[in-house]
Amino acid sequence: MRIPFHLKSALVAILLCVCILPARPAQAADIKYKRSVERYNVPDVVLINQDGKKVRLQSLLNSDVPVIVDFIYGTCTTICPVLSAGYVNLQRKLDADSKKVRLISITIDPENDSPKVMKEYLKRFRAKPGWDFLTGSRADIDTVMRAFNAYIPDKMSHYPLNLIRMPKGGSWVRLFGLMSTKEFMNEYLLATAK
Amino acid sequence: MGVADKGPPSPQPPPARPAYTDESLAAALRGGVDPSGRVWDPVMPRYKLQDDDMAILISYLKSLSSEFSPGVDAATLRFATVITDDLTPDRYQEHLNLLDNFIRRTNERTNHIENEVRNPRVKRQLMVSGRVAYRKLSLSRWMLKGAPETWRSQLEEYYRKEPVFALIGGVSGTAWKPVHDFCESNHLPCLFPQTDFPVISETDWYTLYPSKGYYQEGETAARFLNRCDDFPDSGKILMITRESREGIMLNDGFRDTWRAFGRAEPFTVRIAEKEFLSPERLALLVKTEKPDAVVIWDNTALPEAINSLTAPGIEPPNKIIVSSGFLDLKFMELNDNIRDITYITYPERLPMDEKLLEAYFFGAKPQGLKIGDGISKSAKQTYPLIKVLERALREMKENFYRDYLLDIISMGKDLDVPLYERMSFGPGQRYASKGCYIVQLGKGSRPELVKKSNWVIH
Ligand code: HEM
Repeated sequence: MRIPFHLKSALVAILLCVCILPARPAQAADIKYKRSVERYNVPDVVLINQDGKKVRLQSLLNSDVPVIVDFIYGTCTTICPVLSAGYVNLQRKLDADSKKVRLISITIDPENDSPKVMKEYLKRFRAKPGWDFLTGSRADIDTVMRAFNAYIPDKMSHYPLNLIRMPKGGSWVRLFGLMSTKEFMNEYLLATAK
Repeated sequence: MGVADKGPPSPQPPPARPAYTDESLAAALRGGVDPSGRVWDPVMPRYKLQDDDMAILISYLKSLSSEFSPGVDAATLRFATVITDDLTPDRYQEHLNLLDNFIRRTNERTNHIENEVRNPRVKRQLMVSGRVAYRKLSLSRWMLKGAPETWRSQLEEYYRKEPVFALIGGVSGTAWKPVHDFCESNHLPCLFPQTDFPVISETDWYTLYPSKGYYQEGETAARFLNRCDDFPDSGKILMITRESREGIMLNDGFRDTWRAFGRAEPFTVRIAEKEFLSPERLALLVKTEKPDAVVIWDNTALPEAINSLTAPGIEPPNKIIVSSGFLDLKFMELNDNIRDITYITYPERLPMDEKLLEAYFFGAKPQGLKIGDGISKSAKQTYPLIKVLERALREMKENFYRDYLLDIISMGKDLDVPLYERMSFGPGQRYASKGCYIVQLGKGSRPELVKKSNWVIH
């Protein structure tokens, strides 16, 4: 019996949300990801979101609301579901406050990731409003990846990265590596503390 | 494992646990205790799934192969390639030669190493590194005769006589669906068949196409028009579709995509296969319908019909869209004064770009595609297949499972190829080249193609 692909992906999504991100005690020695504070110049490009709407990246990112950026793609079954489980769990934890953070996923497979593919991806992860998935031309996507020191020439050499923009001052916290929900939440609270 | 007695390790394997049933597997995945009562290592997560999710997981696990797929024995890994008899040999001969070359080269290398390298550890090392194939490769030709409706039984007959591991390449000028369906039913991978008529499906699994063919041109035309700032939201489209395989695929690609944008249905006129699109008929349609754009999926529309739209007394539409694939080189016959409003779907690298890359792809005769001047279309089409095969054989090692082969290809890096800007897969992706330019003709008698879009439009 063959399992249709969308079911497999749904499965991955379920398993990840349910299981892979247990709340581990965030002891310093236990931290597996790399944290740094950076400044980035967001390039002036127009991308397309899951509704097919054009969005200007600068206006989306340079906001008073905390912003988190990651790089994923719609048919990915490796680290993207883990990153996205982080987004979903953050949205759940923040619950009513989830609109206070702007989650942005930028595709690294812009040829395949049409608005339709991206919309289905978000639906599969039960994303709430406030999480946008962006595609665009290969050239623009490359520019964006480069601007964030996150250039991935081929989606198969993908690595886990979250970037949190601090609303105060506009610096970015760069988090390289996979995190538990608790770690992710702590980093978010730290970065956005008044 | 066993009790800590200090003696030498027992040569007996540990007692096997009873085979899992659905119930004991579910219990084990939830609680971490196998049917013999042994507790799993804590590294293995305990998945607290609900019944329906658990059922999905278990049915997925059952779908995984536990035995080698058909088409492989202790000595040989068998492939076949399908050729249909609507083609003359010059259309497929070079393709077959290139595939034969690939098989021969791979086998020669394997033979050489088998004969020359005595040290089994070195040999093993060479295998692991992918320098030697784990089996000799063979390639059969499956020639299909007569009408496409009769192909299925011919395919079944070939397959019964010689089950193969996968179909590679292949060429047809008519339908591909009978082969596609045959592969789905037999869970037989089919890699990069050369057809303009791929089956368009979001769920079918076994055939990996170079692109969506004509469908992709239709899709691109719709995406382009949807993004045109000067095409009104409620703009009217006149679509003229020849009732041929080509026309219908172009039409469907456009219509499906346009619908998905929530746009109003185009006004569609069908041209019967034997009919000719006359200038009078086109002019009349444009006069009465007053469309904002005319989409013409017809290879008889040039040179007369489209060129006559600039005749006095006719108000030409804002945009005309045609397919380079269907018109072939006829699109070069567009009159100067209609080129500004005519947009052409072009699903390959432009000739000038491709020319620049020829030396890069073929100059250094990568992987045996050793061809002299004037590289044929067939060689360019075969190139990605050989790249994919080389990589897949190297990575598959001795795991001769068809689903694994497809997984490897799905997880492969993007392909740099002569014909398309980029070919890529990803889990579940089945059409490698996603792009198609929209171009216009420059001025003059030997006009340049001018890009009006990116390779991919969303
Ligand atoms: C959906 C995901 C997974 C499924 C369905 C799954 C399934 C299984 C099953 C059925 C066994 C028992 C095999 C047997 O009794 O013969 C097993 C063992 C094991 N799994 Fe997983 N597994 C999954 C994910 C993982 C992950 C993510 C890890 C670790 C990173 C892991 C590590 C292990 C280990 C170490 C064992 C051996 C346990 C022992 O024998 O003590 N598994 N797994």
